[in-house]
Amino acid sequence: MGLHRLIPWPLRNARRAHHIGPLGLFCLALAAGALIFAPGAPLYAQVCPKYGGTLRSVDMNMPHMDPTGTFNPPSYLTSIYDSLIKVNQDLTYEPGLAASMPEKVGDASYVFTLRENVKFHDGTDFNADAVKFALERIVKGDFPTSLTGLWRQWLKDVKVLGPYKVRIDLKRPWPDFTWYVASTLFIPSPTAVKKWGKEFGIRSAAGTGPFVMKSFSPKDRIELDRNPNYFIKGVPCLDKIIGKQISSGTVRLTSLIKGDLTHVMTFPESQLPLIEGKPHIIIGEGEASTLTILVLNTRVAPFNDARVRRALQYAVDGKELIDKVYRGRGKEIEGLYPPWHPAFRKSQHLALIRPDPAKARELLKEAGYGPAHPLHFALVAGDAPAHVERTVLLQAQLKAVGVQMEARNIPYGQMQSDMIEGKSAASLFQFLGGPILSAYSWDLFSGESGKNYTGYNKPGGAQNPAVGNALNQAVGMLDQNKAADLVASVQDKIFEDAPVIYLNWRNHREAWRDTLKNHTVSKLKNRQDWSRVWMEQ
Amino acid sequence: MVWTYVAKRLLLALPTLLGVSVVVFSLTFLSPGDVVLTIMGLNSQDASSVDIKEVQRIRHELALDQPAYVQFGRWLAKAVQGDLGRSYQSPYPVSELIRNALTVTLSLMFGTMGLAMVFGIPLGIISAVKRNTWSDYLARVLAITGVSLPVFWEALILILVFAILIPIFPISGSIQDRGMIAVVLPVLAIATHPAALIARMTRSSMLEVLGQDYIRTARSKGLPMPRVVYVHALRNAINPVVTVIGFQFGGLIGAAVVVENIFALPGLGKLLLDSIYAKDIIVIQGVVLVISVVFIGANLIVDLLYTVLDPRIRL
Repeated sequence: MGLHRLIPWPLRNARRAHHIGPLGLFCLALAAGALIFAPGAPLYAQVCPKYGGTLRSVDMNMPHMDPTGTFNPPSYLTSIYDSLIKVNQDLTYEPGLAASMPEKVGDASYVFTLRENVKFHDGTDFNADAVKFALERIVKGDFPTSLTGLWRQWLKDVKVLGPYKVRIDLKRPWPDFTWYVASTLFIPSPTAVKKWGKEFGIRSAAGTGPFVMKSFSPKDRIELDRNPNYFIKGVPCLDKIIGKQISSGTVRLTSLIKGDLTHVMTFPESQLPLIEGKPHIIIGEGEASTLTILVLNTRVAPFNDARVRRALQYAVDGKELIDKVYRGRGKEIEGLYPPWHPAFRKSQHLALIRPDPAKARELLKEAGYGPAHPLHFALVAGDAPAHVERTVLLQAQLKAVGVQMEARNIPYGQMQSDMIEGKSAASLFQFLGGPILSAYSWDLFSGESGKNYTGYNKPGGAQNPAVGNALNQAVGMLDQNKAADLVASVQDKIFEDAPVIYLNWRNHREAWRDTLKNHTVSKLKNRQDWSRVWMEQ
Repeated sequence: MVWTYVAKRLLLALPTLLGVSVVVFSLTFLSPGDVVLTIMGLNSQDASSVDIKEVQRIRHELALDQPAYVQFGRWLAKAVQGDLGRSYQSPYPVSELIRNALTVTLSLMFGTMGLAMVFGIPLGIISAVKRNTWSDYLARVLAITGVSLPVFWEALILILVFAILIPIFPISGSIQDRGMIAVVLPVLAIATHPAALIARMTRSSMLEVLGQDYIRTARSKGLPMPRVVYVHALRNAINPVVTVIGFQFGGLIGAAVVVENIFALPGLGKLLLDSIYAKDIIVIQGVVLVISVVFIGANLIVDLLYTVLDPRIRL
């Protein structure tokens, strides 16, 4: 739409006639009045039908707002900071602070041409130096963050080629480069970082994002105001976002019903009855975002025996867990990846991961377990209601084949700590893998991965060199289709070796009031984009 | 004389605080969990998996791989200089985190104790003066009910009644957002228990005093009943009640942990619970130290109040 169309027609005619006239004067006064008195009326290209309003959401559990940290949910951070590439809610990419998608030079270098005339919230200019500063800050590691290790592993150099041109050189080809740039490389104002030093991110935060941080109280409350100078004209539509930390699930949903909150991020299925059918409440669901598995420590008995592991896989019924604990809101496992993932290839031997109590009993007998000498092990799981429910159901399923499982439900962070240190024999683990190829394959099963908690293909653990080699080869392949095929060629071997017991995919959901418009659930859990939503006042 | 006593008590508080610090540090250190997971944003079930090599690197950078006594010594050396350090999770100074949270918690505590005294003491007096009448029975039933109600249940019922069915109070929200109205329901939820205890203690203490000879003498002299009760009886019956109030004041922190989490109030209880979940030992130490100081301070004030309320007591 041309800007001239924003001028009322009598004025356009008057302009052509080189005089305004009484009707023109009246329209001019009307237009000026509208601009002055209409609250929130846009002076720029209109992207949203309505402007203004305050969005009130939850899960403000961040201890700081420094973009070198890692955040869950990332929505508040991405409201303040932009990256060179933007990852949309549907997991597609588009240029962010870069003017276009990067130009690939060779296999391991990327040249970014940056947007010009972009300002940080503190009024300083965004340019190539700021990109270099942000990357070097992460790699330097002054701020304790897992991003340091990640970028140190891949980044060779970052070169400023011009005021708005920067080249990122990698040590070797990195298939997940785009994802990690989009999801971890957020650019803060170098001036603000230097000014605030250690206290950047708590006293002040300056990015280029659609919202400016007005106030922040760690793990409690954040207030974000619209950035009137945002480089995408016409957004954001909201005036303000207020994020709160409300731990009680009941209080969160009750506040939503009452209207004290506009939006509630993820909540468990057990709380659905509280809001289902309530007026003015919308519930949105994202499919199969979270993988639930039993992580077995293959270095220790009894899970150093493949027959025992396989028996457990045949003994559990992931579908029953979906029906009874997730109230039908999940997916059965059909491959290493969720069905929406580009690397998803359906297993040719699904029977390997489907319940078969008779086979389970047979394998246990072979391994020397039976009624006289039953298999007994301890499972560590989180203490949230859904974890406890799942644990109880698993206990019953295993009991049906003569396995005695002792359950220990402890805070999730403590459970994770024990699991990654290899202190527990079996853990109920639920995690978000994201759209990258390595998350569901190499990370979990390669002997070189630091995220492989089973010991599979690691010294002392169960071995399958064919799987290890295929995964190590796939993780470095730039052609993601070929890589996915290679992973698929070993997925049934993984199911057979059973270093983890596959249970199911769990859906995620959000709820919001119908006054919040243009909001959809992100494909990945908690990746809301607040820049283009608006409030129907 | 009083100042010597205060100085002596304050000196005695030092080993108490040190002991509390050692116990809390040891228990936290021995408990499972890892603050590094929180730093990496992995404290929830919505997280992705974590690289063990990264965990070890960050642990080393923060000197969390040092022996417990080294970590404690380092904390203590700073703490005696008034520096409680910075949270492991963010560069926020612990003293500032505590200061912000203490404002909320003290508003809750003073509000609660005020309300508990306003309701508890008169209820106890009525119950004692009108012994074995319907008003005594009613007051006793109320007191028993108040002691028996769990705080978390009360909080949820108050939300249901006064925030949803009769929407006059907010469900949650900070003082910053909503003003002092934000603490009305939390105060009501916490105050029931101490009010009931105060009522019971006032009743039993008053009953004992009302049976004394000097009360009978006062009544036989023809003094009006209110004067006998409020001037002669209450003055002598109040000391045990003050003791209960002192203990309750320190104990309110426990109730605050529950209530602050339900009403999403950013107080000391919520800060402590968050830090325990994150295993942020620096913040835990700081908060527990402050809670101990509040407890010790409340007891000292109670002891000093005895001398004001009963001149026969000498310190």
